Amino acid sequence: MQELITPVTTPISFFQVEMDYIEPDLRLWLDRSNTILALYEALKRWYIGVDDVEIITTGKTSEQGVSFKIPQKKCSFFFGAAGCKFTRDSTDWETAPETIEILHTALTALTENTGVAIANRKTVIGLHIQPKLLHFMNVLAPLIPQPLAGLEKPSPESTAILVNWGMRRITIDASALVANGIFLKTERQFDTFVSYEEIARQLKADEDQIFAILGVEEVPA
Amino acid sequence: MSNLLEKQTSGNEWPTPEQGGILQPLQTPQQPPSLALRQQQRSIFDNLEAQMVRFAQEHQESLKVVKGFYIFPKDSPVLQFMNSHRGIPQLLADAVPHLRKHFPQTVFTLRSTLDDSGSPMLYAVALWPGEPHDAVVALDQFDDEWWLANAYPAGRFLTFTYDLI
Repeated sequence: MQELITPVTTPISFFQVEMDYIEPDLRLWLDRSNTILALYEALKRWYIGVDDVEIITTGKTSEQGVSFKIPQKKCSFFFGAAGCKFTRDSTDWETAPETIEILHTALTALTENTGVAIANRKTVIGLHIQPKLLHFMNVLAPLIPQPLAGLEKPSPESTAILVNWGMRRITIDASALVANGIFLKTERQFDTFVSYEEIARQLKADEDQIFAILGVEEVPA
Repeated sequence: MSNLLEKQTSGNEWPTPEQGGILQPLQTPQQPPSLALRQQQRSIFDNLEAQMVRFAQEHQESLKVVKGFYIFPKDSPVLQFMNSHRGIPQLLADAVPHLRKHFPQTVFTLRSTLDDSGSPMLYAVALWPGEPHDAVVALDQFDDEWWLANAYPAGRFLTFTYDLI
């Protein structure tokens, strides 16, 4: 754990939860008009329009379905024959209650209209953090094992780490989108009986853990 | 500059807010001229509108490069400055390989201020962790190799400098 705390901002972030059904329902691929109507009605309070509904007809059958975008909240909800996915961009912990509300609304509309049952919830948090004063390699260099880093004379220019525990995965890489940025991705799978609040608590704890290991602290932009 | 093949975004594209009124001057109502003149005017405007859309796209592409190298807050006056001084983003983008060469592994920030006469200026600031003398030498090399030859005309609003950290 690093002792010196480096201030960082988070210019880009996203939250995603992907949910597989216990059993695929091909009716959602063939005839989904009622489901589209039910979801549109449920999400109307966030001012979605007809142009925010997109029928996806490309890719594998499991990737085809209907996507609803909520531009005001930078959210989207996709459902197909095998599962559904919720995404929110530019998100933070203060908006977590609203995120939960939108996700719950969309998911309830889907499950009540179709009868599908959710098997699991795979969450992803992606953060592009930007150290304000130090070069990003000053933050990541301590994570490189010394025998590797010492193979060449100049210091490494970049690094990436991926650690997988099965139900949990962490990715740390240089950011492809943000100057002097570090991309952090934390993934965790939850059973369906875990409440949204407990999921949020666990994900926050995961994020705090990684920040502590990197020796960074988020500050306002 | 990422090392893994992992996707680093959600996959969703959100439209950026309109910058405001690039084409608005062309939308004010006018008295209808003769047919020939109307046709000529329409073709001029068609071409002009296409040019302005292309200019806006080029500006956004330059801004993308700038955002990938220089640090500045999202809603800061820096962005406003670059939108009102359209030559600056391309200049900053062109400077990147030369700055990387003379200032390896150095963070650059952008700052917008007013000079003594009240004119806005943009500063590209190297956050320098080493000795001041080395920063001065690096700046001189950068000036000699690239900046002095490329500073005119947009560069009168831009200064490269350093801050010790």
